[in-house]
Amino acid sequence: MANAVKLKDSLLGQKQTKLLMDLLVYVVLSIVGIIFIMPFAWMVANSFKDIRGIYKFPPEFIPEVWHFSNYTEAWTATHFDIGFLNSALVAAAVVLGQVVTASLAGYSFARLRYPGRDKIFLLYISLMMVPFTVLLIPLYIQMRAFGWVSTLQAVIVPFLFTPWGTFMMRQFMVTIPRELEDAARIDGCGFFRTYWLIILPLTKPALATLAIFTFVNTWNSYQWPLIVLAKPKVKTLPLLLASFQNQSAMRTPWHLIMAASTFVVVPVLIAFVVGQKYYVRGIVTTGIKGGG
Amino acid sequence: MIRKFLLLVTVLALLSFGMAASAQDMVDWTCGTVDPDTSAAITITGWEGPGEVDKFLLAFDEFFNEYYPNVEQVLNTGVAWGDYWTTLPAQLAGGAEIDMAWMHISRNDTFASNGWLLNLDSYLEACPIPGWPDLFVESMRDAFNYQGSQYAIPYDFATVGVYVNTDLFEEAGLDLPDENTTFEEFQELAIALTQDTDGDGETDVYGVSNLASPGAGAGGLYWIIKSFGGELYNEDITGSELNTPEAIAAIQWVADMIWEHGAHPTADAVAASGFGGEFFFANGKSAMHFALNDAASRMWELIGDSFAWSVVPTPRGPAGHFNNAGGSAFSIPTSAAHPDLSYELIRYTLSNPDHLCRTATMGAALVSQMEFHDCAAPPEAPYADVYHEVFSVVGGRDAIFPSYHPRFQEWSSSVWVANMDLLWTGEERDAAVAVQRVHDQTNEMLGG
Amino acid sequence: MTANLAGGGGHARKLGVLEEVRRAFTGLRRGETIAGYLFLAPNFIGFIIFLLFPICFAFYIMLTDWSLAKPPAFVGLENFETMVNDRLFWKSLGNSFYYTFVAVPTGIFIAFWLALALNRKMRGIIFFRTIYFLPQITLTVAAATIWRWIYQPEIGMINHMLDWFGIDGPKWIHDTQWAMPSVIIMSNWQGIGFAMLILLAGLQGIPEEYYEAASIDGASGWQRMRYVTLPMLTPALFFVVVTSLIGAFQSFDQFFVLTQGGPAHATTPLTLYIFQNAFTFFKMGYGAALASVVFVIILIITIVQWRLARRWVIGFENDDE
Repeated sequence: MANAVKLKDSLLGQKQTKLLMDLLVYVVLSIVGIIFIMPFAWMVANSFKDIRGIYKFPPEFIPEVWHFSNYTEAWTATHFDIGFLNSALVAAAVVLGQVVTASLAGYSFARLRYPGRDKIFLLYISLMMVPFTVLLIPLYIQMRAFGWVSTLQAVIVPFLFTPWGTFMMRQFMVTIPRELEDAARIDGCGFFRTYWLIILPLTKPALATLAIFTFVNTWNSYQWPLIVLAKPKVKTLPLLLASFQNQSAMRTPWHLIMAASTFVVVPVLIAFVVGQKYYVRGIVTTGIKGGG
Repeated sequence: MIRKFLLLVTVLALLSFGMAASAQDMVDWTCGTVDPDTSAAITITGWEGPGEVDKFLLAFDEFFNEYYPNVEQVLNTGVAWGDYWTTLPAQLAGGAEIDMAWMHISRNDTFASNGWLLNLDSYLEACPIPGWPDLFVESMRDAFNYQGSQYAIPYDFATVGVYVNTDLFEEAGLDLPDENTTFEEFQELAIALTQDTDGDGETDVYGVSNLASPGAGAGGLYWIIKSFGGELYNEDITGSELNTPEAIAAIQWVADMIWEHGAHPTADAVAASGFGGEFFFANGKSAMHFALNDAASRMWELIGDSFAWSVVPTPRGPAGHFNNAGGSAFSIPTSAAHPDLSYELIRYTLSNPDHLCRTATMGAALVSQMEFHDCAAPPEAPYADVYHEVFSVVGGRDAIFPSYHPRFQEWSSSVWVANMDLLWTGEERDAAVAVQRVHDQTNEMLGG
Repeated sequence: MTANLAGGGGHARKLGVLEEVRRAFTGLRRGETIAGYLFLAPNFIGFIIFLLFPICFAFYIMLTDWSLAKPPAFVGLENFETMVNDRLFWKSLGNSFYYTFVAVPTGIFIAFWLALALNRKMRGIIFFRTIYFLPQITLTVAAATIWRWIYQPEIGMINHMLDWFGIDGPKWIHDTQWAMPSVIIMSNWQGIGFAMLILLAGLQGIPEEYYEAASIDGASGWQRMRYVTLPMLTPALFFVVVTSLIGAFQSFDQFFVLTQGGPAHATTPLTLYIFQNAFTFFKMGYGAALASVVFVIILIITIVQWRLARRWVIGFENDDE
């Protein structure tokens, strides 16, 4: 009886501590959050100013007059409709490709045993270390040989394979309890079925992370597309955004750039929030007991 | 009978006259080397983007509709200025076929010496450009000439002038400077115009802005060095001539304006807006501002009617009157698949009198052909009455630029900026010290 | 028990590689070997097709003098000799090390605590996660613009706040001493979302049962952290450390937009210098030679980490062949 009361007290205490901790975390997160949100908010605020408002000194955060027309003006200034289509296509293809190839290879590196595995892995990681600057021209030459210059293949196909993502998937797969996999194997699952039924569902947060990052990186990718996509109909959004920059900073329509950057970022935000749905503890729902 | 005959003669005469007249309207802008029915795709690349490039796209469309209706234009315009100079070489090195490319005076020699640009001399001889060379701004013609050959045809001319806040001059009871104002007088003006209006110990209005800041290349200061009688390089660009008392005095004049007299904002003060120094002048925080002519239209937009302002020529030095010039051009890469077509397009775009005024007005800039310099400033602009005199007459006459030799970009980054920056951050105040380092390293780089 | 199985590899080491492969394909683990290669194949083959040529090309180019215009001329090791006397090479190399070894530890430290906070089951946590991710997707130019304003010595936010405590703030990006710390702060601000998300995914992947078991054993909050969270997070942490170091040595954008490498090259890292050499000075051969230095440095750092990893990262215990 006394023990029960004690347990209840400590549970209550735990609850209070948790509430207190929550409050503390909220406060800290909010304060630091302001620094993180400010440049973004500033970009959005500037997207509603006219050029005079942007050059105002000292700078004003809230626009004096709200120029919603910046958005339509930016949208019609260049082919953003085609840009959105191209960017969406490229991002979707690259995300899908990377998630598939990286999770397959990650499983192989994390769980299967075969000669040379770790040497191949290290070689593979080392490929990430060559600065991309020196690969631009040879890759361009290769794209020309394939007849892919100014086609979307040039920004999709070479990027379907990722050492970075593979490394990440491997790191997450090694934490999965081996018992789960062994159980599946005993039940007669082949390697692919084990990967598909056990490993993949358990790495959802990692897959979501990889997908989010690949999406963001592909969506924002600039240097290589700029070189290889030289036709208006294949240009992706970052190239269109950059096209507003003038030779002289002074003649650059900053208000339009801010408006365009804002609408360009919306799909990324959506992707991020959707990706959050997969940030759930996979292990709990599948359960070890079921496997055992 | 006779009446009938007279009538016939009259009709015939009228007809032939009319035909001749219409033929005069219809100058043929082709050179006769390309089949009018050709169905090629012409690849064009440049840095000007939405809005800016339209002035040329109109001319391109007119040209192809009129003469080559089956030619498709593949436009890779709007490659951001800074990235253009790395993207174009990467594409050319990778073997891209580009028919026409925007070029700039600061890169012409580099690209020409690398063999990336077509020598246009034979084209200019076979199918001359109307008005070439006499009607084109001389300094721009020369700028795109490398080792005696023309590699690009200039399309504009930009030069620096002084934007002046006339309200502030009036308040201080000072006269506006003109092309005979000396650098000493100019400095006195700047000091007199610098004020701490609210008395808090911090400067609220600077006498002058936009002379130098970290990262600034040699182009913006060369005209000052030259005005004082200095030089950057020796004749054949194999060594430095910068360590002369004249050149040092010129650079010290700029550094003193910032550190000695506090009449020019420091770089960190300028950075406050994040967008560039123009906000200083546009918000009435500086009385005199150095900027190119093409800044005028934007300045007008930014200032509105908050204060009265105008433009005046740069000051005069002991060695003469000079102002920095810049300009862009159209070139044909050696990898072009249709160079003849490109040449015709350039020729049409840059010398057809029917649309050159439109180009100047749309771009709010001076085109390379002098007779259209009047079109740059709209009559209702606050600077309309002085623009032509300051930028075209005086500016055009005294325009100079440093020798943009093939290794200029490398020199600028690793020698000039590397040492001069310290003067603009204030970590070094003595121009002679920075100049000596630039001098030695220039000799090391160009002499070897 | 896995260790025992893997122990068989000890004999294999004495055998030739071919023999080892032959055994792998014929022995008991034949299926696993084939599966291993098959799972790897799509990724690896694709990567080789699209990267092998460019990488081999780059390795050849570093032994040449190539202006991008004329064909590359073989010069042997001349580019490496040039490097020895190149002031800006040493300066930018120093900058790269400075940046990497300050930015990475501080970034990971902050990201770790942020991930722990954002891993809590609280209302509106997705909102906070999104906020901390926003810098990743804010247009870099816009970000740099506002950071220039934040760093402004007189009216900027940082010095304004320092002023409250009576501190006279520095000139930040306009001072050769403070420019690098300025870049580090901004790039940590921008990049923290990346490390945070990975660590968050790692935290989410820790089985709840482990915590339950620890609670039943009477473990305190700190003990749960020490004996469950930290060890189970080591693979993710290892990944973040390795890729952040690689990423830091290759970072470029933040320098390019905030300071353009200045003032006086105080913030020019090796990558920016490589880029300038390759595409502005048109010394592609020299650029490739510089790139090989970056490659070797990162490779060494990574191999060292690999060796050390066996001591602290789970999932490495069965890696010895």
